[in-house]
Amino acid sequence: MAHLLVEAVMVYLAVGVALGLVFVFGVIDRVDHAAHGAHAFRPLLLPGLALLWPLVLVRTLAKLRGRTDPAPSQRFHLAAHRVAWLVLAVLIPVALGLGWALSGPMMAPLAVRLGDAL
Amino acid sequence: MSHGYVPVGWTTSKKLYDAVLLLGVGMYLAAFVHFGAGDDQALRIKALGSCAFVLLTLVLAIGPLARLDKRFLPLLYNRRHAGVITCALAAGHAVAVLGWYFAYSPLAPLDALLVADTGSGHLRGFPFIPFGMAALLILVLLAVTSHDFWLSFLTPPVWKALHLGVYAAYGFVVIHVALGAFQQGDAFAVEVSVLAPLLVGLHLWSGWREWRRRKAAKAEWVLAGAVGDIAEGRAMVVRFADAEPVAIFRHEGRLSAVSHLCAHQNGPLGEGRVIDGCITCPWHGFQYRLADGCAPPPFTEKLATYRLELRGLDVMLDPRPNPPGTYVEPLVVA
Repeated sequence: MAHLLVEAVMVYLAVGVALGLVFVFGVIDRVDHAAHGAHAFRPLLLPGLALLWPLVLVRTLAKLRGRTDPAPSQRFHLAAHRVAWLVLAVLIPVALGLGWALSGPMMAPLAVRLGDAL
Repeated sequence: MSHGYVPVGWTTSKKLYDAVLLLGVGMYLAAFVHFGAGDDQALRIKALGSCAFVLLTLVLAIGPLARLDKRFLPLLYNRRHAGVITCALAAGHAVAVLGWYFAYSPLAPLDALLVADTGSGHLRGFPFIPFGMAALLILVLLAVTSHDFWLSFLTPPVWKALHLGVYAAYGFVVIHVALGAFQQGDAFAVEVSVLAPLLVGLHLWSGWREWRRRKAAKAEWVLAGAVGDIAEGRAMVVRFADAEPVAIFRHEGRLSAVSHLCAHQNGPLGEGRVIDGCITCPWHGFQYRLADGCAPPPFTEKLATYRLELRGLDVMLDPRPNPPGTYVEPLVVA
């Protein structure tokens, strides 16, 4: 199962690299005017293209069809930022407390049972 | 206003910043290995992981520090490189783990990693490795999409949503350490136990101050601040709970208010400066005129402008935006 998963990831990345090469040498000029005449930066995009190729495919098709982007807004970002830190404000003390508690000698028997149960 | 992409937008300050950063990383790793206890290879693995954690904490501290004190702003402009170095350190940690703990496995190292029994004596079965892998995956994703092209191609909202993943990565790292290094009694556990709550506290403190400022700014004309709070050639940023933030610039004794968000890629205009009589975005140098928010010809970008009023020494702002490019007579203050 683990081997299959690793193989699947390798295939995904290989497809991404192939599509990425097509993108950086053939398509990029049609979707971003700031790329015209700029070549040195293109190899830097390949790792991202290999990882995000399905998203890149969707965005490229949308751009080639002339779909306009929504106006930028910072409201979602600010709200998400607030939520993220409120979640971390709870999660981090819980994780640290659990880590310390389970590593102590008093909690060792519980840790064994919990570990076995998992 | 457009520009061609370059691999790295080097400036003198960025080179200096990177040199200091790399020197600091090198000294940290050397000190960790020199003073730490245990065998060399295990120490190197822990040094890389520990350094990645400290750097990630610093990167995440820069935002609230810059909001609390403007002297930290130069760090904000350079934190992208620190993020990439953090990812490289974390990847180095993972590669070192694969090469040491899984080198003699009958399975391939990656296969062995996925099926590993993560037990450390009494904590058999605790899955701390997947949390580290998830954090590394996110850090890699953020590092490989850090070039300006990605911000433009994915659009600022999507790019920023993607990069919010750094908070999940931080949470995963803390769990990874709490269930891993903590159980082995590493001194590293103390470092994480101090730094992670400090970072959370810093963000909560900065967020609370921001919330108080927004709460005070709900009337139609809102008090933006005192005239003396705005330095010549710089801006004050006014934020609202339900509207876009506004940047009020001071230039040659006059005040002008425009959207805080650059029309190019959503950059923080209020953190920029007035150069050659134009507001200049700190991210890519896009420029706008103060009075009407228009980019100088031949460029066509426009910003929303806002009305200002002076009451005594207080600057009052009407938070309702004018259509982008609307001329508003600058407010004379000196």
